[in-house]
Amino acid sequence: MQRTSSTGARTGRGPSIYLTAAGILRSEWIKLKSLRAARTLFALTVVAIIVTGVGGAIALIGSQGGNELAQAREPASALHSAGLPLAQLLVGAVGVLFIATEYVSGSIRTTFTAVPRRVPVITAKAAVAGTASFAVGGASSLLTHVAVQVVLAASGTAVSMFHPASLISAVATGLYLAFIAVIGVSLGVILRSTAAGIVLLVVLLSVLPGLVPLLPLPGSEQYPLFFPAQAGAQMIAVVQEGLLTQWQGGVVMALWAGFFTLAAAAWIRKRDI
Amino acid sequence: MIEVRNLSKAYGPKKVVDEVSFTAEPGTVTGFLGPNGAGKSTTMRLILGLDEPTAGWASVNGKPLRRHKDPLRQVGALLDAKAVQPGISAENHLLALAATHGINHGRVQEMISFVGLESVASKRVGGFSLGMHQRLGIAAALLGDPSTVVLDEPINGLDPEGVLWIRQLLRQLADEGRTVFLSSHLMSEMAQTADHLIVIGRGKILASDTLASILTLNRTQNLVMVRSDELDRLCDVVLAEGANVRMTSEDGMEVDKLPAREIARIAGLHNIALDELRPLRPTLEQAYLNLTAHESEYSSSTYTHEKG
Repeated sequence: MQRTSSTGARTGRGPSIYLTAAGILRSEWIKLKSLRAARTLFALTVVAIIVTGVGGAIALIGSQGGNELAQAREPASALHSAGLPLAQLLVGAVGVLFIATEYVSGSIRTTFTAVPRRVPVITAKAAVAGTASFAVGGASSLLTHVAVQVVLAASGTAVSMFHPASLISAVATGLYLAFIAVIGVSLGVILRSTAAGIVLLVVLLSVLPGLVPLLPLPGSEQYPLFFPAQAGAQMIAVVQEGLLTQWQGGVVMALWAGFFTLAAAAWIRKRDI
Repeated sequence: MIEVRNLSKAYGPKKVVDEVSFTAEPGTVTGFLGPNGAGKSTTMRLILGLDEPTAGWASVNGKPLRRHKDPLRQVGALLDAKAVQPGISAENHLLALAATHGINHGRVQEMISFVGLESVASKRVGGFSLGMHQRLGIAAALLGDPSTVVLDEPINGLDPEGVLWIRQLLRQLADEGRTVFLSSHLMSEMAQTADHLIVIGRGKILASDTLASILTLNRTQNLVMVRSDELDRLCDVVLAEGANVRMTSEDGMEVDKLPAREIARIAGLHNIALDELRPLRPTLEQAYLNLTAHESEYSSSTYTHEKG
């Protein structure tokens, strides 16, 4: 094991190296691929979306029989996102632990010594976790849509394999999960703990929207519409109803993700590591 | 080069680093010596920009690390060898670090074989021994071919072969013209590796000088080690000459305030046979204890047996 021959010393002679945004993105992509828990959570996300969707389709056949195509049409075309309540927590957890595990292991110090400005690291983490979640969520959602139509076709209830509104909704499902992963990264930055980050994510997605209407404020019953889970529901809705359009739902989600990312960036800039 | 000026870090009322100033020069191994809790690691984190100073500043090669466009070329750091994601492979850990600066795959392989981790490069780091962690940490620190190297307790927990390896490596890095800055609480190690010593205690710099000057400046005693079968009789006669003694074993004692030559003469006069008569060289240990006597956060009292 002993070597004293060379440190590969090229001081002043070696090729120049520079910190680049693309380099930081590549670095975070290598880390995400190496994170076993992230791979497991993504696999569970795929399973959750497909099983819930296809399971829902099978239940539909059982309950409605072959003739009531008209009623079946609408619920069937939304089954690709039926697994979302579980999938959003799994993907959010990926975002949280992508950074929280670096704090727990201490590798964050190596990361921030190589990139001392820090903010590029967390934006790269958000971008990488978001892109991966979009790919995983969008693909499983599209796959589920096709699988649901195949199952329904077998019983003569199929709507259409390529129902445009459903396809757009499947892509929007991926996009929604990307925003949730970005929010997860920010929570991980601020809380530095996987458990605390996931708890806060659940509070944000499930608890707060139920509490806010109880506030003694004018129109407080409308507020939950602007929370991530509800705005997300508008964003992926196949049939437009409710206060927000599909686009507006998407904009509200983007604002949430942007808000959390800015908060995390402000938080991390001068914090002791 | 590392420059630190009036650097302070306080947590509430507790000043962990207190108005610290020093320079670590290129081509030199600078040792940062102090008891546990003296502020060594905090100072290192401040230099690397991981902690925000309460006052003062630290720069690496002329400016704060944050302002460099190529941080990994400026400084390579090993703070805590165990601080690696346990699930990642050694190779991917280095590849992720290299990617930030567009360092090529070849350099990563070069560093893996340089530290001797070829056979385990694709294994999860979680299963590594401390020695392997240290080697991986060294590979990571040298990845960017940095002109300044910062190492916190690099020989902690290493086996003798590893210690020798690190010692030769540090020498080599300094000889290549790099600034080498390492901390330790082990004096013997510092005595063997460092050219320049900075001693810190309770957040304050106690000494900053070459090893030789620190040794001579902090020489308070001229101890002589004496062993004899007739220790009791010898003890009485040297005490009568005004010396101080400290019993160190059944048949041995340390004599202060009386040169070896004089002890030999007195022993001869009283027909006492000596088994050993050896002036004790001033050790870094002694100088260090002397410097930090009042500065260590937790100290244990020593039992001394003063006869007479």
